[in-house]
Amino acid sequence: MSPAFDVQLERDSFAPGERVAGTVLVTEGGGSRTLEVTLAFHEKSPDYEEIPFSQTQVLQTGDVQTGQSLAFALDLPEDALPGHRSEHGELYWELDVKSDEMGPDTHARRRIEVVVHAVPEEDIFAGGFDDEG
Amino acid sequence: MDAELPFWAFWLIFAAVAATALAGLARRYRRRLRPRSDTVEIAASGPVRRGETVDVTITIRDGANTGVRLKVGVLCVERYDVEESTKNSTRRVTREDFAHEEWREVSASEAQQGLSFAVPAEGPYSYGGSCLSFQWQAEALEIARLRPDAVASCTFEVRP
Repeated sequence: MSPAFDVQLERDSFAPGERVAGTVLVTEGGGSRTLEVTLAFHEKSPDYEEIPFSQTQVLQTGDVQTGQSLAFALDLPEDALPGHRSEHGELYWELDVKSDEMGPDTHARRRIEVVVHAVPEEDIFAGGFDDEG
Repeated sequence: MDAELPFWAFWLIFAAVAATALAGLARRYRRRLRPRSDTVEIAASGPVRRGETVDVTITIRDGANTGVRLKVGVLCVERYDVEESTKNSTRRVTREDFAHEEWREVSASEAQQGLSFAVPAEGPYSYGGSCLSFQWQAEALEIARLRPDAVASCTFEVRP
C-alpha cells in the first residue's frame, strides 16, 4: 500500500536566506525505499517547467509507519527570488516530499511564499557615518 | 428550399477569416518589423525595485524635432515557451506578450525630456529563465502615417 504524508510548517512565508523547517507527518504508513524532501524554485510556462534551484534532504530509508513524524530543515538561498504569477507563466517555491517506491512514487507538495523586504536607501544611511575615527 | 450558401456570402466569410488571420500576424510581427529610429535616443535609470519609479530620458537629435510625434512608454515583455504542433511533429517556440505597458504622448518641442514611470509593486521583476522571462524596457515611438513607426529602446533592470 502507498503511504500518505502531510507537510507541516509553522508558517508559509519566508525571507531569502531563511531556514524552512517543518515536519513530515506520515498519515498512512506503507512501503518506501527512501523518503526525501526537496525545496525547489520552479519556472513554469504553459507547456514547460524548469527547476533552476533545488535542494534535497533525505529523511529516512525504508518503510514508514502511520503517525511517524520526521523533521526537516532546508535553507533558502540568500538571493532567493519571490514568486510571481503572470498570464502565461509562474515562478514559485515548493516543498516536495517524495517517497521512492516500487512503481509510481508518492508525492506530497506544499508551496511556500518568499517575500523580499526592500531596505530603503535612506534607512541604510539613517544612522549617519561615524568618521570621528 | 435552396440551402446553398449565396456566392457573395461565401466571399464575405472568406474575407472576414483572411482579415482576422492577417490582423493576428500583423500584431505578432509588428514589433519586430519596426525600423530603429535615427532621430530619437532613449535612456532609463536603473536598477529600480518594484513599487519605485523609473526615470526615462529622451533626446531628439538637433533639428529633427519639428513635426515629430512621439509616444514614450515603459513595458515588460513576457516571453514564454509553448509546444506548437504541426501535422507530423511538435516544436518548442517562444511567444511574447506584455505583462505591463504604459504609454504617454509627448511633445517633441524640446531636444531633451525626462519622464517618470511607476513600476507596479505587484508586477514582474526582471528575470531570464529557460522557459519564462520578463524583460523591462523603455521605448520611444516615432508615430508615422505612411510607414512603420520607428522605435528607440533600451532595457533596464527591475529588482524584486
